[in-house]
Amino acid sequence: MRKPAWLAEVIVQSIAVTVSILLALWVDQWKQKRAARDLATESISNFITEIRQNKARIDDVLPYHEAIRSMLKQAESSHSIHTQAEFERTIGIDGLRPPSLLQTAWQTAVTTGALAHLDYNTVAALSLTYTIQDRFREDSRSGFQSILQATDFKAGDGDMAVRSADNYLREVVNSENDLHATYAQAEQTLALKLKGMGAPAQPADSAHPTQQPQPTTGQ
Amino acid sequence: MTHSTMNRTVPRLVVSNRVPRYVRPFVYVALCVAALCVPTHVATAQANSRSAIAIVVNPKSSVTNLSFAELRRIFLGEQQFWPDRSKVTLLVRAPVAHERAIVLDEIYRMDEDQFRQYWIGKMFRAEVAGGPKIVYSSDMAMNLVGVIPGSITFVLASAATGDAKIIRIDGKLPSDPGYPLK
Repeated sequence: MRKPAWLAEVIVQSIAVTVSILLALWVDQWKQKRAARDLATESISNFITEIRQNKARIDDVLPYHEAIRSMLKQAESSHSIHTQAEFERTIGIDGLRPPSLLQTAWQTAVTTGALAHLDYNTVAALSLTYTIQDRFREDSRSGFQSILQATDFKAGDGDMAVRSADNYLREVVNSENDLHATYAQAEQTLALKLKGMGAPAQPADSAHPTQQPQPTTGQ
Repeated sequence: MTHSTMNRTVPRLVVSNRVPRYVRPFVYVALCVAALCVPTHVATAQANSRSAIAIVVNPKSSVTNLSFAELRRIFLGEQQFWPDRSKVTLLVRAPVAHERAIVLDEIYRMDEDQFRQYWIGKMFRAEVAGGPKIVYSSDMAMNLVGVIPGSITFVLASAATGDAKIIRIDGKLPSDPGYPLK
């Protein structure tokens, strides 16, 4: 018995429509996966840039804080600071400020949902890094406030202020060293992840210490 | 001793007889004024030397001379590393200091607002890791520059004492004539 011509046409058209829909779905899914991968790659690149910048900021301020600490120790042993004016002339309050560290990449990744496209270990490493950074910021902020209170010199005890500043700065310097090590570890992890995703290696940031020195005749 | 003998033995400030008599008092006055000006010039030169700004670097730095253009690039944060690859740490006096005013005027060619905006802009563009480190006195500047590797600062030449390593700018020290930071 011959099938009617219209039936064959319906079957062919149905198959064509189904295949088209499946193809469209597959293309859409492929585009979504690609967008997610691009977002993840871009996010990791941003994390690497930000972590390098923060590391460079720590590198920039660490020798300054260590030097101020040595001056504090000297002042403490010689009992040379008695008034607020002497403290500000010798040490200065602003010199005790911690560096301001960026967390824009983390906030952006949270806002855009980019973290959902990263694997668990990468997110855990990033979370740990920014948690340590947050703790550093909170600790140094509260420590700095206590220094400001300790340096009112109303009691005329300069040594107390110097000791407080030294204790505070010791914690800051230790935290800066810890944070620097954490950044180095996170940067290494992210660079490996980026390489695994087939993305080109992240070039060194302009403010990063790996920048080549420029020639000068200053000899 | 006769008057004529004294004339022969004692040097006298005598204006040539060819100068007309009525002009001689003016010549004497001019010579006196010139004589008074000599010590004034010497004093001014010494004062300039004292108020000149000395550029001081960490004693371990190998740098002994910079051109003024190189100095500007360092202070503007355009050159952030020394030739030995150590990082430049810039120590700058807090506002109101006389030295800072001179450096802002001569090296940065900016006022305070422009200076602040300049460093904020550089940090915003991630061209530098941080702005200049603030020091509150010449003593603090000298202490810090002595212990921070790669650091550079400026103080009044009279404050650059002890084992300070003052570098030449365009081959000149603060006491030399033609030193650019006076």
